[in-house]
Amino acid sequence: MTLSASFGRDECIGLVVDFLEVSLHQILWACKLYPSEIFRQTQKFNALVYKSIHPEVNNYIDNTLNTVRNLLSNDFVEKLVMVIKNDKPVERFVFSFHSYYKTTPSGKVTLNVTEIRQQATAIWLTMSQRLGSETHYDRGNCTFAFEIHTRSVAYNKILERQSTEDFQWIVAEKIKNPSGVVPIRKLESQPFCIDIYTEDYRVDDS
Amino acid sequence: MAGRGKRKLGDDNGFADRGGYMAAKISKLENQYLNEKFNEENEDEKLSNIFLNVAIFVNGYTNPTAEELKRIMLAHGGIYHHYYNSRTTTHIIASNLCDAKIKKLKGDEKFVKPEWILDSVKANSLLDLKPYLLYTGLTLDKGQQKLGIVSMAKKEGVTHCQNRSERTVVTDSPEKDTPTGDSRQSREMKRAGEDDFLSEFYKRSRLHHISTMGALFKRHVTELREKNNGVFPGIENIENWKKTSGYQGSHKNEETVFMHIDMDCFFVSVGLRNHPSLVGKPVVVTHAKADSKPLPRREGSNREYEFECYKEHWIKKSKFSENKNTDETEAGLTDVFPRLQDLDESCSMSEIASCSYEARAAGIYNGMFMGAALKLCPSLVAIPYDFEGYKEVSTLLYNTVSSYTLDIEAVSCDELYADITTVLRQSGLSPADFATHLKEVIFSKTRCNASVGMGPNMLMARLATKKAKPNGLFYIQKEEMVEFMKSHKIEDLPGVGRSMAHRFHALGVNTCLEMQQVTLGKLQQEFGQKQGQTLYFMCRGEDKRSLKTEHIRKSISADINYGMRFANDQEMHKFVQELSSEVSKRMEEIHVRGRLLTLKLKIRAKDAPVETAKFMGHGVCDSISRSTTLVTATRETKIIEKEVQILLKQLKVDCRELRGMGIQFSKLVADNVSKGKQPKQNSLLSFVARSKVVPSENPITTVPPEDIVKTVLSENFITPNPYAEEPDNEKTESDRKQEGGKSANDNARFELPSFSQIDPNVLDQLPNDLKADIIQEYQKQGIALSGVKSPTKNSPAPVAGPSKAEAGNATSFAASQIDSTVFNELPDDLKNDIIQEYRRKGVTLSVAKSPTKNFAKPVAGTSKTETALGSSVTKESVKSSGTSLSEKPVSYDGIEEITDIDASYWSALPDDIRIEIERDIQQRKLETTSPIKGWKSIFKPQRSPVKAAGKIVNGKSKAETKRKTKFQEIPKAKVQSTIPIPVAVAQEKVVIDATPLDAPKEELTLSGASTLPEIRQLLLEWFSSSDSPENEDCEAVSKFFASLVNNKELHKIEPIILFLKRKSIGQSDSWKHAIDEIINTTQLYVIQYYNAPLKLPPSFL
Repeated sequence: MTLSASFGRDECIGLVVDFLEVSLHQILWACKLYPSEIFRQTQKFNALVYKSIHPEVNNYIDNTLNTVRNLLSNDFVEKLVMVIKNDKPVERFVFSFHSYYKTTPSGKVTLNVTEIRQQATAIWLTMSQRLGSETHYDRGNCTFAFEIHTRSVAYNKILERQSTEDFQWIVAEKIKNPSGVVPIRKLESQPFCIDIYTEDYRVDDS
Repeated sequence: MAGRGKRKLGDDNGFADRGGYMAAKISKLENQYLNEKFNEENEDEKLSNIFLNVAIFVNGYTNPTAEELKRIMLAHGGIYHHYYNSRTTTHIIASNLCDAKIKKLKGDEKFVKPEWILDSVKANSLLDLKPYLLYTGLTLDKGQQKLGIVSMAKKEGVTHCQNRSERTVVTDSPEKDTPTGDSRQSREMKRAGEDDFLSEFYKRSRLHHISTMGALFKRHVTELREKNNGVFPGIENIENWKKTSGYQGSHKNEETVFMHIDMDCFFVSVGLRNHPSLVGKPVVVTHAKADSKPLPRREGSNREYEFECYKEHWIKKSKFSENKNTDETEAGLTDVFPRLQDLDESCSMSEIASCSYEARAAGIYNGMFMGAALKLCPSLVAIPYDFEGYKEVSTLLYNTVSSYTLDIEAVSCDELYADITTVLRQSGLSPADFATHLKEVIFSKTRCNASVGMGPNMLMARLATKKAKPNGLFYIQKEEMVEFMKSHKIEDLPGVGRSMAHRFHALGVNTCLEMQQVTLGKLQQEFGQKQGQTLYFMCRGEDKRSLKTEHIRKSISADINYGMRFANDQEMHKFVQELSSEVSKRMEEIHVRGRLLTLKLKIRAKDAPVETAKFMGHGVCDSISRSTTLVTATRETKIIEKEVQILLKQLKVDCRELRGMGIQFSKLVADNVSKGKQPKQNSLLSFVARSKVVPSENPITTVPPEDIVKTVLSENFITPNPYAEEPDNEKTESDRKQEGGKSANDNARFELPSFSQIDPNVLDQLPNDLKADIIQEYQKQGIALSGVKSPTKNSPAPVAGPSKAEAGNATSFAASQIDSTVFNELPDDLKNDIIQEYRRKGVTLSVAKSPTKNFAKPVAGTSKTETALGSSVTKESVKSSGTSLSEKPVSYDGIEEITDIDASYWSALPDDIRIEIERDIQQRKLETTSPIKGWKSIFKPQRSPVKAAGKIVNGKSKAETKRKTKFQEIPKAKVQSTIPIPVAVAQEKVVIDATPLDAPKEELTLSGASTLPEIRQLLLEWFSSSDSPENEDCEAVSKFFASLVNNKELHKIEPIILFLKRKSIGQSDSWKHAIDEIINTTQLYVIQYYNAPLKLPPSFL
């Protein structure tokens, strides 16, 4: 049985942001940046996921997602990147938005909800599975940060909003090319096409 | 109650009762009166209509008697009321008013002395009431005192406002009945969304009238210029005038002289033509009446609050733009909002459009609210708009000026610039003399005064007019220019408005003299590069502008910010519909289509009151706008409407909060360019077709089937498409762009370019049978082929052909390169092969070989629209055109035959082109050819060309038929067929792999295998098929990976690569090498897209 429903633009964006939120928490959990005590099990799309309950962490994520939501509704985002850093970036989780909404005369798009759920679940599963199994480096000392890759128009928009919000974005430094790309999965169901992969900065010693 | 009815000429409280009996009696009396009127009209002719719309009621004793007055009213078109009716009676005639009567007054009655009627009859026009007024409200509290009666003798002398509060309304406009009725009418102004709102709105909107009039005259001037035959009747007039007035035409004028003509308070002047009695009085033109009756307060409106809102918004804005301290902002506030002061709840918020110089003397200015103006000058007279009059006078003005010169720049209906250098030279008049003459002519024709300014440039002329006003002329000579500028305030400069003036004040600059001290750099820094420079020159009186006689519209729009109160979405949609058709109408009027649609909305600001202070006004609003670029320029109401609806949806507007809406079109395209090609109607279908086209950005490159049939190589191989198809395609494309790909008719015969497009040389070089075919095809369509036989000279033509075609195509990339390189790179034997085949098979093979040129063709890019639409149409045409059709699949199948050359060809291609081709193809919606086929192409690359050729010739084999069908279904797949043989093969392989990006359901496949197990199975078979892998197969696998990368399906690559690597262990070296090669190529792709290679398990490397 497939479940489809009509969604407006904002609802579509809402769905994307929901997905991002869970994904970010999931990455945090899987990377073990924080002690596992701050995570609680919860459900999303019928899948078991972990969510942080630390207010400051959550606040940070929420603020980021708010900006992303705003920018998405203006068509300005290209990528949302979560950077795991240990002074220098170690890994970057990239959510690359190829499309997430289609203009239709009615303003609504029909989404195959089942498919989206399945794919989202698969993505989270892949994340936790792969990251959980990797113990190459000590993540205890790492921090994380977000990057938003926008089109140039958005830059001024963000700056404009800076004054009214207390959540500040700064211009990123030049990003180094990673040493390798590790794919996670692609969320692809009309009209969404979000590519998710990690960029690895670790140099293989072996 | 009934008894009181006996008092026919009732006393003061006669109007107090209105019983059923009285109503009956009144109507009976009225009928009697009308009968009498009828009888009387039979007896002696009705004398005049001066009292039209005047209804009098006689109160008390008068001289002449009431009966006499009644007779006069009858004779002069007025109405006599036996009983006072506060609604319909306009004037009460009385000779005397006692205190008791005054106390019972409600305040809006007009007591007029009977002399008014007598004198009006004498003057044969309705005289101004004022001198005859018996009572003015001001004396009320003082009881019966000396009444403010102005003697008749003084009447003409009253020029200044007096502190009396009687007000008169001139109620002569035919569309308004009585003044009271009028005020009620305006209350009933339609709301947006109601029927006919828009037409009603435009009937009333003064801005609309003014603006359309300006545009009208700009066009008028252009038309006059077109029609002109060099004769200016005005010159003759000058000669006559010179004779009568004794001017000498001896002035030698060397310099350029610009003239600026501006009618003095235009609306008032025109209005006064019908009210000569008002000349010399403070008069304004406005919608509202001058009877500052307190208006009933409307629910939810709060003026003070709203003004506060305005102020706050303004302060916020000014703070945003520059960091000023609050004091300055406050000071600026009064600069910007002078008219917001001294307004109270009861004031009329109707704006004054124009006011006479007498009114100006009292401190009234244009744009002031009527309520405030009445406070300043209680004796103000308001006259209604007279749009017909404005038009008439404007036309006279323009025609007058254009009889002297046509170097005119129309500014608005009452303002224009003219270059009078030539006239002066011809007539020998000095500028001042000419201006005097012109003013006289204008006045005699229009009975309105014009002020004329002249100067060495447009700015000077304009400023001179300011000096000349009212009704004067002023000439600034070049030498006086700088001196003249010094005295000016910066506000006098055109383009310096309130806000800019405010910024200057902040800089401490108040006059042009002070501004002259400011350096250019500073000005530019403050006001921007261009404006700064303009200001710099302007304050020195320099102006480099020349007259803009040709008027080009850059945008066209319709905005409505008044009366917008939607109750529901239906109303809003209806309004959008109306507004769309209004815009469409306006575009039609000036014969343009627009491409960039901007929707401008005014939405009630969050803190603004729901009900605005100005009745139905927009109040404090947030303005937002959204644009969308249409695929084709349009002015179809339906499309506009649709786009606007989409934009509205996107903006998520609450219709109840909407206070203004405007649709603007820019990027205008003139019609006449492609006249006749525009479809009259846009069907829904065509709209759908258009929107279908929109999503893809990459032009899909296809060639319609008949191209293939007809595409033939000429002997030297470099020959382009003999049909010189490209120009036509391109043309069609551009046509489509304009018409949104709508015309089905065009599509039906689109395959054949118009014959003129065909290069005769090329045609001549064609094999005879093909040539015959082509000609036949044209003749079928009724086009005679002249000049086909024209002898071909040496062959520059073929060469010229492609380059022409390519030049015409912006999208073509390196097409010319390909032409030559392709064939140069081909092995000689292959070339020979092809030539031989070609000679043997004639049509068939020629088709197979046509690619060289064809290759360039997809590159050149036929419009996508064609294909999108083509599908249905082509199917039809294909079915109907028997003979030509049977050849169609030929070319298609032809690709397969010569697979053996592909690799060399492919590798010979420049890298960038290869990549381009790959990408192009992947992004196209290429339907996968049947997997089996693709499979074969990998494992059985060698096929007998002869066999295939046989197939082609008979053209009816099953496979082909199948192809044909498929082909029709997905016309885009045609691309392959037109690609040169070698490339075609390479592409065929890609075809196997590639699926369209935007059809996620279709998996990328490697020879039909899409899931991991399938691919594994396939690869296993591959491994077991031979000892060493075919180059071609490796390529196929690489391509598959590449397309996966393209499609961001990175996660699928990893397991396949791992699998390959695993399997290569234990295989021969050639296998290992091949696998490594594949992986390396793939990594390069990954790097290209992700800046880093795919990370593989370390053990792997």
